Amino acid sequence: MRLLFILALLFQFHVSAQPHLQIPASDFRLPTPAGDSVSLSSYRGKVVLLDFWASWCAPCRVANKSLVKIYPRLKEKGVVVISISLDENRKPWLEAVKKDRLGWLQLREVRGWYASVTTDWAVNKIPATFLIDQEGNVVGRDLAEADLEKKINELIQ
Amino acid sequence: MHNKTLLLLLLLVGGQQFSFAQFQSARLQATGLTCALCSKAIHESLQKLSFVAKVEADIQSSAFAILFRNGETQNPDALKAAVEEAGFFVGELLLEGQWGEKLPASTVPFKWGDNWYYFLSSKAVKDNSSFTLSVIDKGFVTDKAYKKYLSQYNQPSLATGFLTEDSLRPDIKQRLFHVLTVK
Repeated sequence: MRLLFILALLFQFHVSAQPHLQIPASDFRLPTPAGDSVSLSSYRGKVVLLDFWASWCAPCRVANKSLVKIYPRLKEKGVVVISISLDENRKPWLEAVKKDRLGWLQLREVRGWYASVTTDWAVNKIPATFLIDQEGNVVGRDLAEADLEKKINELIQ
Repeated sequence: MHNKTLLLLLLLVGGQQFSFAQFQSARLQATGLTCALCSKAIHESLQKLSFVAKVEADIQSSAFAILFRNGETQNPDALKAAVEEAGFFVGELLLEGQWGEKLPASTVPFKWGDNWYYFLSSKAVKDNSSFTLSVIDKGFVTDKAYKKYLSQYNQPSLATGFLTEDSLRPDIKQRLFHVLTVK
């Protein structure tokens, strides 16, 4: 009985620790505006910054501004930036991409909150960002700009 | 008009039944410390309601566009509870639908589904036209707006949210939603 209790405790810890850092990252395959589908695993070997957002998410639109600002530095370091929009509709998605001048890979998940990509990555609010290393492991979530760049520098050394 | 008069009217005419006029959708603005549209919790708790078919975020009005299930009774209290369960508050609730052939008169409570509604003010409406109603009861608008409506309309039932507290018929205590015609 005591063993069972300890096991239950351990299991609970395991489960609650899971959503924050998944090692390795869950793969997905989603469409680009042009209609091609792209998978996360095809970027193995590169550092990836994954960003969940939507056109109707005001804080995401603010975060886009900072990302646009640091994107040239990230690109220079060989970091791949992938945005996944939870927009139900195509038009506002593309309008926001254009308006915010998001010059990196744009993907969309029409099933939004209930899609496997959102549940696998435990995205319960947006914006949500994940940093993924060259081996495909999640090494950071919702890192602030300074921490993000520091972590990236560590990874590409 | 006093609650007693309201009840009398209701008992006399049986209120007005508008089974043919239906709410089809709603626009719900939620307020809180964080962005309500950006939270899965609120989306999920709204989606769980039996009368809700679809919940979408609308960037224009920064509100949830809620599509109701056909033939199901909508309950504004359930919408409010869902929002509060997720840790937010209702800032505005607009009900959208289509009038039937007979239009409800203001000053007489009318029944939609299981709920009673009462017009505090109503713009001229045409038969078979679409409408938008704003629910202005406590908890459906900001506290400030609610206080303003309370003093503006001086309607006792708006203070209680119930049709009557009548001493003659204490058994009748019917939830009453107060609405304004927005469109």
